[in-house]
Amino acid sequence: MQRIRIIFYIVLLSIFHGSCIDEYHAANLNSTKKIVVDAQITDESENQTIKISYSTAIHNVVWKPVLDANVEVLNRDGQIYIFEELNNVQGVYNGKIAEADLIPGNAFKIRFSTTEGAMYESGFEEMLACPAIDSVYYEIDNDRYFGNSFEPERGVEFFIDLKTDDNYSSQYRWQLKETYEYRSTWPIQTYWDGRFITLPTPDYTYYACYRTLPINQIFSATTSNLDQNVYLKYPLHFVNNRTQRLFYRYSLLVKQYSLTEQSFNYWEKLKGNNQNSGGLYDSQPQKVMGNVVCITNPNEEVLGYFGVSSVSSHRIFVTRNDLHQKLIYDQNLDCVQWQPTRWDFVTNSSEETWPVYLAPPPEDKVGLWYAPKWCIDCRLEGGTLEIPEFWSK
Amino acid sequence: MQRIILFILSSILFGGLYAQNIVNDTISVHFLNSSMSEFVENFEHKTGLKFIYKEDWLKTTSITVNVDNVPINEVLEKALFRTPYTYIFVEPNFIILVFKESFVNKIPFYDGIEISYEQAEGLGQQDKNKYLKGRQPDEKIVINIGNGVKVVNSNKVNIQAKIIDIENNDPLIGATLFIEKLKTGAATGVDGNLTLSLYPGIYSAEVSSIGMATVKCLLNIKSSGAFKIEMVKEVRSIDEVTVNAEQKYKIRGSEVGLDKIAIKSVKELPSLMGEKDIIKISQMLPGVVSVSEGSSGINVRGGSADQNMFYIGNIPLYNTSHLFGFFSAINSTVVKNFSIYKGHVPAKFGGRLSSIFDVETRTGNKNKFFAQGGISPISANISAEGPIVKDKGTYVVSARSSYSDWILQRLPNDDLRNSSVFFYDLSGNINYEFDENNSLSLFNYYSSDFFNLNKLNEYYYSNLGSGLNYFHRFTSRLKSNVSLVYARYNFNSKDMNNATEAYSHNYSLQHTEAKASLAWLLSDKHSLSFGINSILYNINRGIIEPYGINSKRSLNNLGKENAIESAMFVDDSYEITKNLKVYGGVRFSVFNNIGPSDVYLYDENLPREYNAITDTLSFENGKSVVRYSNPELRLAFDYELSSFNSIKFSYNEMSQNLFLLSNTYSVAPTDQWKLSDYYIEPARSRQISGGYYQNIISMGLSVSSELYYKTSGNVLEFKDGANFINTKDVEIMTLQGDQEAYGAEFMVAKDEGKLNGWISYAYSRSFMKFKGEQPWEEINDGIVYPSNFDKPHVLNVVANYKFNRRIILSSNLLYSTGRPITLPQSIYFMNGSSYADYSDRNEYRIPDYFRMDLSLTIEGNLKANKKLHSSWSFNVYNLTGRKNPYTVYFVSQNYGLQGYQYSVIGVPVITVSWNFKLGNYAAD
Repeated sequence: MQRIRIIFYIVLLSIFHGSCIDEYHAANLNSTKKIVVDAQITDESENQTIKISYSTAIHNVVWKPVLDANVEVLNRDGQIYIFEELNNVQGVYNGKIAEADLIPGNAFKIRFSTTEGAMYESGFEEMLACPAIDSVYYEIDNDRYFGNSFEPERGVEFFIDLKTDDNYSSQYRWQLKETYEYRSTWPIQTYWDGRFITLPTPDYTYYACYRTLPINQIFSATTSNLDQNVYLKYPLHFVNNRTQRLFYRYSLLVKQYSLTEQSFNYWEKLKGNNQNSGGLYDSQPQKVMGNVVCITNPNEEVLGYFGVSSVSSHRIFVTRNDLHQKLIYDQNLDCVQWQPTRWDFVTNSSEETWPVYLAPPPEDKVGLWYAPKWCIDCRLEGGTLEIPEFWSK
Repeated sequence: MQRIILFILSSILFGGLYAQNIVNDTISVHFLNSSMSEFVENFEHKTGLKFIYKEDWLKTTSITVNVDNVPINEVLEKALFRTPYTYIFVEPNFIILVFKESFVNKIPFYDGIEISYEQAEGLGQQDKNKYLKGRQPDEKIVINIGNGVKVVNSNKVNIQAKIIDIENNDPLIGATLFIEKLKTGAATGVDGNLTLSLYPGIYSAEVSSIGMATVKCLLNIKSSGAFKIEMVKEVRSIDEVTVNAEQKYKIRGSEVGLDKIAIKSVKELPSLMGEKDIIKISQMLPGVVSVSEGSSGINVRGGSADQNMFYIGNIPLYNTSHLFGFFSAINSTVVKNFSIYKGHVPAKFGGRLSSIFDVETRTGNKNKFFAQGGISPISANISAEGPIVKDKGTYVVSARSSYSDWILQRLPNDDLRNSSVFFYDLSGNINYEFDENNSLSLFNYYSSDFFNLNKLNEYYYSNLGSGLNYFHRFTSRLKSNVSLVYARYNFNSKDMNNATEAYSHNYSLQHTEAKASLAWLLSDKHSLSFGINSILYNINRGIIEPYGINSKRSLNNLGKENAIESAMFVDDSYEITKNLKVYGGVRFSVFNNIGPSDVYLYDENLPREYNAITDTLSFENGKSVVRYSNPELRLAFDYELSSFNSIKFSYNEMSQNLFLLSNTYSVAPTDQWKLSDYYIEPARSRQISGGYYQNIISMGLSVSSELYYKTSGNVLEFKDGANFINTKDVEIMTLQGDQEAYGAEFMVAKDEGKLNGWISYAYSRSFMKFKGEQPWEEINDGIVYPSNFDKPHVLNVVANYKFNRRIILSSNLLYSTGRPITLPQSIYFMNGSSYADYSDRNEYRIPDYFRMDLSLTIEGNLKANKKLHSSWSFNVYNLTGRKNPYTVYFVSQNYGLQGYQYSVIGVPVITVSWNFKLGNYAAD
């Protein structure tokens, strides 16, 4: 729908030559603090995490944990699993549910009370069987338009196929996590360490990094309108060539959650609010309430959802060789070095900032050249030097 | 005495009297209900003329005249028009006042002879017709009615006048014949006829109609009879300001909540891309708003978009938009004028809660072939008309088509090259007059839209309609109309966003209607009309079918619906006293939803869901599923305080059996009309309204203010998350609730002069409430919330300035409070992402809307003998370039939420359009 909206906008733009999208800042919203339950009980391991927090004002977004709550998860037989708040992370409660209990057909609910004495509870949420992921694949797209721009984006669109039967749920949600390799522009050659030092051979220590990020989009689908429990080519996210993601090696981990109808509706509404809003024929945003209610004050609104699901996962890799010749790499993402008029910002720099890296001179040039530190130390772009264990070639 | 009369006669017959003397000097005078003596004194002082009169005549007479730089003779005519006097000029500087009757009685009459003044100004005979004439000096026609032999002096006789446009013999509707002496008159109906009851005698009468030169005539009535008056289009001279109490063009005031607009009076208004659009123009009137710029569907007095009935000819239009709603499907070249009933609605209309848009279409020119057309950046249109059989039959055909596809194909973007936006409409009108008493008309209409967004979404829809109308007059007091109407609305939508879920959906609605009505004039003061109509609805909500070889979509048949809605109505209007007129109407309709149909019964203690079904009722073909009857009462009172001001009240009840299933902000081309059924009951509304209307003659203004309060019940609204494609049973996804609206509307209009236009302001509110016995029967927890189109303050200014007949500058100015919106109030984290927690429904508002448009129309030369006349129109839409938000939406980001506002037209849009017509400037 996002895409349709964009196309719709450009169509209007080209007809009227005057359309524009600007940032909108709402003023003076009365925000009320509401309890948020972020819980997903899965069959991946016995360790389970539940986060309980308060919603936060729109102009001052901070994590507001709910401290010292008494949190329990109950199964259908009334067995209680106690969750304890982590010592080092406030608002995050951990507990263990026996593996034998984490089976399709079982159902769980959450119950917790805050230090103020308010009590909250969800309804039972059934664990539905989750089929294995059939396949995740991608297509190269050199002509993708976003925003009201006439410049196409080039990149890769990922898709998933779901093929199962009526023994399984017909509602699914997918969570994505990407990992990619990226490199700084230059290895270390020259640096300031109280004096200028030039290494005899370049040092590649901080040259290659790996970064893992969650994809914060909601991907959910139902086959209830289809004549089989099969959904082919469900579009996942799009990765463009404007970052180094597709330059070396890219990996996508897809986790598939089977959902109850109630939780699917919840995620669909959230998706509608966050991804569909604004289009001409889009539905209006709405309040989305989950399955947790306040027992002590039924009028209190509780956000979030206590979800229970079995999970299957699948990882795929995309290397530059796979894309070679098919994806157009038209972006030069390398840093450009320059020669400052004065060097005292380096020579007078404080010791904590050392070493101050210098850039190698461009071809056919000599002398001292400078570039920001992240052009030489890849860790500054958010990744780590550690090669992920699944990164085997 | 005899000598004077002869003198007058010769003056009238041979003119010359006014030639190049003092009475052609121009003066400015301003009087409102002044005494005659005051007027005379002031006039003598200003002009040096001397009045001769009988002293006691002047005591009882008042004068109203308001002119600038007008020849003295015209000023005098205007000043004396409402008095029993006329004047004679005698050299060198005397004005003799005489009784009008004192000389007209003595004129020897000849049937049909025209007695006219000749204006002997500088131009020679030859030159006279080279340029279009400005206002002509008064002509007085003498009309003899009936046969003198049959005169029975003591009894009133009935006279009937047919008033027509001389150019195309079209009947003029709403033309008035006024007899000053009796302070009485009558107005023509749709057939251009009016009837009066008078004693035999000779009367001085004035016939006026919008846009027509006033005809003054003498009626010599001998016995009952009929006659015809032909009127000529009025081309006003540059500096004329018209004066008298009779407003030539009055948008409001004839009934509470009725706005009437002649298309000619708004043709110069600025418009988006040069496309004239009566629905957009209607939004310049108080009480009519839309959700946002470019959204299809309008909201009248706090009612939802599906509560308006649009008639073009007498064909109902079920989708009025072209190009997503930026333009209307009603081609303005086929429109003659349009009326919007939003307060008092005559009982002959029904079926919608909020308003009736009645578009009267153009009829063909009876005398000669005529064509006109235009080109705007988005579309081109052409229409042709002429006689089929001289003086009997006429035709008009018109066509309009967009060429926006051509633009898209030339843009350097594959998504756009794969997209398509296209619309067109066609109409044809045939009229045939067998004789004075029998006529037949056939109007056909077709409109179609197609758009395809990068082959991911495709929409197609069309309106088709045909209306046959037969008119028959039994006697001068009893007339009848019989009509057959067929209308079809259908759409096809394809969603190909995900190949697996891709589907295609066909929907169609058919409306077949027969109606008959009789209008009976019982006496001058009492008229009655009554009639019946019956509509057969056949709706096929269509099948959701898989589209494309990869689609795994399962078939979902949304089902068919059939119903018959029959109504009878009586409209009765009675003039109790000279000042007080009452109107009473009753409409009684019966709606019958008929099978085949399967109706699910649900467990009443559970939300209506498929798992709450307890039983199924099956209705066979033709069997009644449910029947609803809707009695509606319509009352109106009209009290004339004086000839310049009046107050009016009305009480109006309406009902509606057709609903538009929409879960979007604005009306979408996939929205389905749905009939009342076993669960969905008819919506009903009640409105009380009142108004005060005042004409300020001295300034040429008409001022109106209206108040209304309206409640509606059983208004259909979707539940959060409703999807009308996946679920066929509408009762599962919708709720019926209440709507409340009230407001005060003010309007000041100036319809004459170099500067004309109107200013309207409305304060209005509109609320929704869906409170049920169970929580799942509620929307917004049962709490009242403002509707999507609740815009408390709306100010519109429409101004035209005529530099001269060839150059006209027009401007629109629109301001309104931003529409209500649901905004994120706080942010919360889940699953590593942030999400917005939205406020109660429509708790906030988007920024206020403001827009100013300008247009400059330059007409071709004014030569009388030319083959083709053309005009250029330069339009600037959104002159200030204000970025009025069309939508506001929020996108989750890793940490927080970013709001965006989208403005469709955030810069000034300048367009040029060209219009042409056969003939000269005045041709029509």
